[in-house]
Amino acid sequence: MLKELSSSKFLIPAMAILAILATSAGFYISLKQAQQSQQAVSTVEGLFWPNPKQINAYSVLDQDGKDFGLNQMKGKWSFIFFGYSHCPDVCPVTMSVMADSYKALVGENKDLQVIFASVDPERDTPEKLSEYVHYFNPDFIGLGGNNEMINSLTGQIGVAYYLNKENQTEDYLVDHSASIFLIDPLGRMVGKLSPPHEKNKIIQQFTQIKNFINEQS
Amino acid sequence: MNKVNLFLLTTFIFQTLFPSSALSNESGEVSFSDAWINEAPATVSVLAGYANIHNASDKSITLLTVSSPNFSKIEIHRSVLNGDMVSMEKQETLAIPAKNTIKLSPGDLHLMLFDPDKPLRAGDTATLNFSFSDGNNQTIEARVERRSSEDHSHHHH
Repeated sequence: MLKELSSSKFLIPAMAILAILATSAGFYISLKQAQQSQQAVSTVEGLFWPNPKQINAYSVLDQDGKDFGLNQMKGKWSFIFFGYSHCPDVCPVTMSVMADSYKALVGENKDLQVIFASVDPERDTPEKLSEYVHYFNPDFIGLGGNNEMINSLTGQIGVAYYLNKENQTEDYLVDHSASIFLIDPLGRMVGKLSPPHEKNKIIQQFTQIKNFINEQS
Repeated sequence: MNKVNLFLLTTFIFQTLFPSSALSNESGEVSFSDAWINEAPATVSVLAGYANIHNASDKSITLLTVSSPNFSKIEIHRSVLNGDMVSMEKQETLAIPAKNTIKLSPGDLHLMLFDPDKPLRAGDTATLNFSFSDGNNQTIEARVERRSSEDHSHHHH
């Protein structure tokens, strides 16, 4: 039997099998390595990489009625949430989570800003926005102006909203995005934090995304 | 017609004929716990109210209306997440199944409280009147609170 194996009749097929096995193992190892480096990116939940969207110039008004645009985002990490102040449930809960997260993060992240952008600027005048956002934290920024202005921002970030004005005139509801978007100091949309929002989750995601982005530069 | 159907039909006829008769208890079947109103900035004219509504009886009871001397109107809504979009769906009524608790909580079912008669601050209370399909009415005092987000996510029960 052994003698037969070592004979040339079996040697060539055996070598061929060995060669195939070795090649497969090589493929397997390089595949694993590729997967691992992919995982380093994909374990950062909510990260938009490698092609984060560059935010272009836009023009809205802040809670003091002053112009606010891309320049006010440059050099800062911005959390931005799109809502409206007549929203009794999801918006105040989200803002309250943001307030707690901001408080925990701002000590080590002086370049952090939290923005509440109203998709209902008709009712959310600068005065109302000012009182609304400062209730949650005096540092928070409220953006509005008019729908055309707000659309210059929502269009780029890719959030939709809908004013349910068909039946009621005064108490209409607004469908809006429940996610919080993260813009880096270069004005790139690098992350999206999906609901349900929780303080510890936001802190973790922000820290991971920020560290990842800082490692790239 | 089998026995079960006959029983259901009889029950249905009785309940239709005698909606708040001795067949259903006068009170004590529906109880509330953890009723609270989320404090909001003073300019906000729409607040959210939350509570756990427990039905101790062995039949489903439907919440028909909620009213209050402190608000111009109250509606029952549910926040619904569709992909990334959140919208509120008005509930005309709210069924509380037999031996069950329906939880009104942030990001889910809630009472939409319109136009408070005065700015409500944490520690204030507001009166809420609930009327149910069994003819029972209940008045409770809900406390205005400013809960931290940790409180929201832990869901007090």
